[in-house]
Formats: sequence, structure tokens, C-alpha cells
Amino acid sequence: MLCEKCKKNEANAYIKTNVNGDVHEYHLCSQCAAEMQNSGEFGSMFNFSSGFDAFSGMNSLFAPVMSGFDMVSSLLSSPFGSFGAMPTLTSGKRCSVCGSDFRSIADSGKVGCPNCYTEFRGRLAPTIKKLHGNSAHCGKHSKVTTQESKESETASLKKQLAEAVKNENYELAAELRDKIKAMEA
Amino acid sequence: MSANNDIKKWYESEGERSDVVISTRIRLARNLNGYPFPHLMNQAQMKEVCEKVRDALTGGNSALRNSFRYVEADKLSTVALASLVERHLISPEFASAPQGRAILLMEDESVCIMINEEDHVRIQVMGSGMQLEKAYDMADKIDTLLDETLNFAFDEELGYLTACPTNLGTGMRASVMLHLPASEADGTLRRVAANLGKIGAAIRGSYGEGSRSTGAMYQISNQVTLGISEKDTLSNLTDITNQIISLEKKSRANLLGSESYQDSVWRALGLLKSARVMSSSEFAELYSALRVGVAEGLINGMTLGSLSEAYESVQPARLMEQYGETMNSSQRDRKRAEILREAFKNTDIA
Repeated sequence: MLCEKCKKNEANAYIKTNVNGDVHEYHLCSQCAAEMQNSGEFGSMFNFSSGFDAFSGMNSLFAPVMSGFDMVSSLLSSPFGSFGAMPTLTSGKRCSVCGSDFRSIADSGKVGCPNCYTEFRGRLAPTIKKLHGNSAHCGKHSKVTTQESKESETASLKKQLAEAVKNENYELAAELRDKIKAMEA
Repeated sequence: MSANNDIKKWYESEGERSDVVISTRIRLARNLNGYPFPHLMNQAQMKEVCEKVRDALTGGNSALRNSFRYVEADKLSTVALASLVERHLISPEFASAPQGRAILLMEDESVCIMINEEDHVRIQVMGSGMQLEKAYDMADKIDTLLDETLNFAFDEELGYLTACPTNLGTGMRASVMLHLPASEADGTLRRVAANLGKIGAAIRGSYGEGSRSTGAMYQISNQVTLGISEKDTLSNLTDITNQIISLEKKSRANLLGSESYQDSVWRALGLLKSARVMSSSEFAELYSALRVGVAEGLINGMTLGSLSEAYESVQPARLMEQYGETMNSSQRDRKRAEILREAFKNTDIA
């Protein structure tokens, strides 16, 4: 069978999805499957990644049939399952610190390590948004970050100071100099 | 691990609003960069993290360093672990898989740091009665001290990074344990509980998630951790708690007016003063009536602090720790009755 999308290559990935009883089947070549996933062509139905990581371990040829319902039931116990997680295709990327792939994170409901939040940021985002809304952290900061942000703030003030001196705006320059002094103290 | 008898424990004292608020708890979830979260760690990594956390606390110059005891969980007996669960110092989940885990316990048991539970570090601070701010201040102080050397995993947008994304942000769960027999009985609590979710709070039975309430003990806690500061979380929870307290007090006023309720309080006292055998479930039910009796002045000769102390001292694992790990349940029921008769001997109906 030829790939439904490019109609050139042999289809070697079979994806079946079931969203609230709405069943779709896709016969794709691995290239189109990867492209569609990367471009987000599967749309909102596939807004949650998992599934294909499982295929990657099997060389992705003749991938097994995946039923959306099975996925949903296995994910219900995790925070990732609470909004109808559906299988889709991923590149099989693994976290460089703990080796977790996204599938294992989705299945367990637990992230692998702190670094996973950086490496899988985009794919974790919908879950985090679902749990917490469009919020950004406010409250206590860890020491390292406080130090980092302090440093970047002083750097930016120093830039402004140079600018002010260049423009002969000495009043502003004095103000900035005092601020920097206070921060570095 | 038996409780050290020389030092008065936090639960043996009486805090603010103890008539309704049993206790306060603050939990902060923290993690170390460069290690998988505990569910993916091997034994060597778990050991490393345990030692790093221990050294961060006891190695520094802080005055706190000498008040903590470091205990490896797998060196404890099943009974000792169960006793720690009874005292809410560790979670049942922590006790079920002690390998590679450890605790740092403060002398008065008001602070217990669990290492390698769901997160690498879980700082827990307990206090009797209503004292959210004070408990948070202590947790904050320990967190800052540990962060000096451990540099906890943190992201500007996501806050403290945790194994479960539900805890991202402050990583803080603040909770109060409330005794709500009257609002439970007249249906007020059911109405309130239905609305708590909408304002970012949750209500649970006394042993945390999924547990059923015994003796009308309920835990109210914050749900949201990202996008709200610690200070605002505490002030929201304080407002909610104060409202629930006033509803409970209103319901109690009605309940106490009834002869049958007064009778049930005094009957409970009568049983405790006379019984020779008392199961833990029977005591849990009687305890609710006794607590109202002491709090609302129907029973003389007992404070809420000494009542809490008596409650803790007759829990099953605590009894086994004190009087022998081989005690069976009927031996415990006899011992429990004996201890309670002694504790209540100077009490009387008002």
C-alpha cells in the first residue's frame, strides 16, 4: 500500500486514533508520518504526543495497531491523561540526563528529571497549561536563579549607564550608578 | 523509631483555634539537578542524594544543624515506620518502599524532611492548631539553608521543578487538619466542599489523598501551585479556613443545644473512664465527641493539648513501639483502655 499522503513511498506506519468514538486510520510512510507530526498537521486531535516513541524501538516498520481507547485508559491515572491524551508520532527523542522518552513520561504521569522540563518543554506545555492555566511562576526563587537574574539585571543597568553617559544625561547616569552600586554591594 | 520522651512534641501542645483546627502542615517539594527523579533512580543514586541532603543540613553552620536526626528508612522496623505514618511524619507510600530513602527529623518532630519520596526532598513542617505563617517561615528557612549547597532545580517560568507537574511552581502544599463533626452532621460541610474546588482548595480525609474521614477529621489544602505566590496561597487558605471554622462553630451551637448530643459526649467520657477493652476504631469515633466536649466546655479537667497527647499515645504502632512489637490486637485494645482510663481519670462532666 502506498502512503496516503505522498502517494510515492510504501506505507509502513499504521496509526489508528479514536477520539470520543471518532475513529481515524492513517497509512503513512515513516517520512510523512514524522513530517506530519512535526508540522502539527494532526491538529488538535494529536495535540498530545506519545505513541510513536513506542514504535521507534521496533524500527517503526509495521507498527502495531494502537487503539486510542487503550491509550486513554492507561493514561487516566496520570495528569497527562486527564484531557484525552491521544497517541501520535514522536521522534523518539530521549532526555540527555535521565534517558526518558516522552512516552514513558506520559505513561507514568511523572517527569524523568528536572532536565526533561527543558528537553520536552513544548510537549509538556499542554499538560502544564491544563493543570495550571496560562500561569508563570511567582513566589520564591532558588538561590542560583536569584543570583543569575541579579547579574543580568546589573548588566542591563550598566548598558543603560553607558548609554546615559554617551548622551550626557548625567542625572540619569548618577541614578543608575547608585542602583548598580546598591545591587553589587 | 520510638519518639524521644524527654522532648515535648509539637502535637502535645495546644495551638490557636484548637477547638476546630487540629494541626497545620506545610510541605515543600524540591529536587536536585543532574539526577533522575526518585521513581527512576537506582540505589547508588538514591544513596548519593540522601547523603547530599543530609550533609547540606548538618554540615553547615546553621543553628538548625544540631536539632536534626538522620535516619535511613530501611534501618527501621515495620512498626517504627508505621508509627511515623501515624504521626503524619512520613507518607504511607514512603513507608511502603523504604529502600534508598531517609528522613531528617527534628527533635520535637515539628519538621520531617523526607528524602527520595516522590521528589528528592520534601520539607514538611507541622504545628498544632492554626499556624500557617509560622510553619511556612520554618519551611522557608530550611529550604533556603538546603538551597545554599544543593541548588534546587528551578525554572524562571515553571518555578521549582517537580516529579509530578501538579506541584510545579512553589512546590508548596499548605494544609490544615480540621475537626468538623457538627458541619458534617448537619450537611453544611457537603455544601462547602462542593465549592472549595472553585477557589483552588481541596478537602480530604485525614490521611491525605484517597482516604476516608474518621471521626470527622478533614484536611483542607491548596490545589494550585503555579502562578500564585506562597504568601497569597497562605492568605487564601487562611480565609477559607476561617470561614469553615465559623460555619462549624455555628453548627456546633445548634448541635450542643440538643440533649441527645450532650448525652453522646458524656457517654463517650463514661466509656473511656470505665472500659477495659477499647479498639482503635471505637476510640476514633469516641474521640470526635470527646474533642467537642473538651473544646466546648462539656468536659472539665482536660485540655485539648493533653487530649491530643492521649490520642497519639494509643495509636496501634505507637503502642507496639512502647510496649512490645509482638503485641496482638486484643493486647493492644486492653493496653489502650488502660492508658485512656489513666488519662481521663481526673475529668468530669461540666
